Amino acid sequence: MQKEKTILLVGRPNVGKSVIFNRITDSYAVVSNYPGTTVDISTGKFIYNQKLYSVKDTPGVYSLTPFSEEEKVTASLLKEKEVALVVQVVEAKNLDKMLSLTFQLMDTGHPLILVVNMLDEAKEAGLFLDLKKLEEKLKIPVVGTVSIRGQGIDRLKRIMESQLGPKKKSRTKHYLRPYPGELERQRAAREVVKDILISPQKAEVSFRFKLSLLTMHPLWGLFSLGLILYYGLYKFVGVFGAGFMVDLMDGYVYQEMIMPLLLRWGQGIPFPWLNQLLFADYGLFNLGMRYSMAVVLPIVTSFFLFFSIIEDSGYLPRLAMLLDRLFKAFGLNGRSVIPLILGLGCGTMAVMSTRTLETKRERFIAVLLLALGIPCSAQLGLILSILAGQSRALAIWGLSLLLILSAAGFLLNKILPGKNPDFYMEIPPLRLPHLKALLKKTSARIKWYMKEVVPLFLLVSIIMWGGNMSGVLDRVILFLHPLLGAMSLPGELAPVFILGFFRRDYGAAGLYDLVKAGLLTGPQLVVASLTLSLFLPCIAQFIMVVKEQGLGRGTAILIIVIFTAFSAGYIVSRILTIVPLL
Amino acid sequence: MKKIRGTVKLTDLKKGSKGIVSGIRSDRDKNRKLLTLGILPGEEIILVQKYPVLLLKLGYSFVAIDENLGKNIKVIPLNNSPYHEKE
Repeated sequence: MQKEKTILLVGRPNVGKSVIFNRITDSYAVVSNYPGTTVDISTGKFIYNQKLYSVKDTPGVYSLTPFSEEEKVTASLLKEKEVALVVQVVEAKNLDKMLSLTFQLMDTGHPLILVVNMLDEAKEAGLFLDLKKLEEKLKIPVVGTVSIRGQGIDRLKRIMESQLGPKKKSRTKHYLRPYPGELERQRAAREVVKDILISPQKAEVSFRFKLSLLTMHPLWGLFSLGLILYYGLYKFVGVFGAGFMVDLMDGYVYQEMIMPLLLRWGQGIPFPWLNQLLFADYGLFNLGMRYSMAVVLPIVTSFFLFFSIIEDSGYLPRLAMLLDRLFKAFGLNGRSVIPLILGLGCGTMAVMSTRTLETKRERFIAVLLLALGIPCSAQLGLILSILAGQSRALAIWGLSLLLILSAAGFLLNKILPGKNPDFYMEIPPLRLPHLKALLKKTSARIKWYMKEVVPLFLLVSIIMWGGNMSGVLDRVILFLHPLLGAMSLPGELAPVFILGFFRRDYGAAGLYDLVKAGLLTGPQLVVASLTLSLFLPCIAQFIMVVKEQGLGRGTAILIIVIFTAFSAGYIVSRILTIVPLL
Repeated sequence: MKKIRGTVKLTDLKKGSKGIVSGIRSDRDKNRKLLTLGILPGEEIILVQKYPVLLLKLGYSFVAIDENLGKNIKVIPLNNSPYHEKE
């Protein structure tokens, strides 16, 4: 049997390959305004003349010289025999920098189509290109598109079909002569673009452009960061997601409507053990289902939405450049901003994304900081809502956390051998996110959460139930009592810490219940929140840490984190008894 | 390497001024990073910002690099016209 032919989508990062992929196939690839989102290769279908082609969305590359992981992947894909067609996507505005790759692709000998995307942005910048002339010069089909609005897509499809058809196949030849080096290719590219420019006009400085400069300014940039954090993270994720939505979903929908139904249904169960498993305090319905669906889900949903917005708007690279200097003091560089911010959403996802960092040293530091002190959205949301209205408690918690994180980063930078890798990044234009893309992306992430994380919640319920039935839980609680006593915390917190071992957000959710019952004083609240924030990452994150860093380093991270969490809790509780800040 | 008269390090350029990249003195790895960003000899750049990192405008795109990379780039300053003519 013949292997099915493939169509490869190739191009620089952040030129809209994934949008085009989604437009020409029936599949969905995650789209964002951040270079390097396509880590895995998405595959979709393209049917022409009753023949099935598989379309591959390749990771963004700058050239075919296999330096980076992405370039190796793409270069090897291009060597495969099954390639029927290569579609290169370029950004119209930066055509001169992208044609170099076109020349390299021509050298591979596959039929090639050049898609000049984002024509609208070029127009806005006062840049008009003669694509007809470009086609004549390059001797390959050229299609102009505004992919996000679907402009030019039909034409692209027709040209793809004609290239796949048996007759008009135009194998590409070397353009004039083969280019030996990148420098020569780049020069030739500039010549070509100079030729096809139609009277470049002076564009007026748009509001978007001014805003774009503002977000990169050392002072105004930090100011806009403050606004984004306050309105996005605090107001939207904290107050709306963790406050209003959780009250609605948990307080009203789950506890008032679903739980009574379940309880009535449960009365008919003749086995006490099953009844325990389902309805006890740690049971599946009270703990697993309730926390995962009614408490944590609304919070992570609002975080994912917030993150999608700042991702698609192109804000993240700006944040990376603003924080580069600060992060260098911690042995990281601006690029680590992505894992660390993602960590505010879901630590497990964040640890996975440390793969994109350049050096081993950086990856270790980022993973350790994520495990230690970056609270995930569920935890952050709950802690914010617990400490809401007590601005002093919130300030002490936040400052201690920042202090410990900075100290940890600073020490790691001093202790670990090696040095910071260079920071270099292309800053994409600010773009207004598209609602459809936002919703699709957010729902893809929620699906991930449902598939990967919700089962863990249910598992924890079962483990807690088993521990309760066998008496192991009581013994662990007794063991934790003196530790908690040293931090002047009540014994009721012991189960919260045990929950925290399984998931940090879970622990915070337990804390949330204790606060609602009014069992904690101000200082106790701060100490408990801080210790829980620093405490062990959830079991899912720990598994991911071991996967990324290996068992040895994973265990080291675990020990450092437990030790720091309890010592910090102890020290802060001592300070608060001596200095009456609350 | 022979020094061309009139070239300065990118990091010595004034904020808001224009220049043409004349050479990059660096190792292969750093060179490649700059190349992928489109920073290569002959390219006209505007140094938009120097802090917290170097922010360059190249044609229609912006790229950010840290000082460590920037100090290896030699440029011929064009004029010290401010970046925004209106402001």
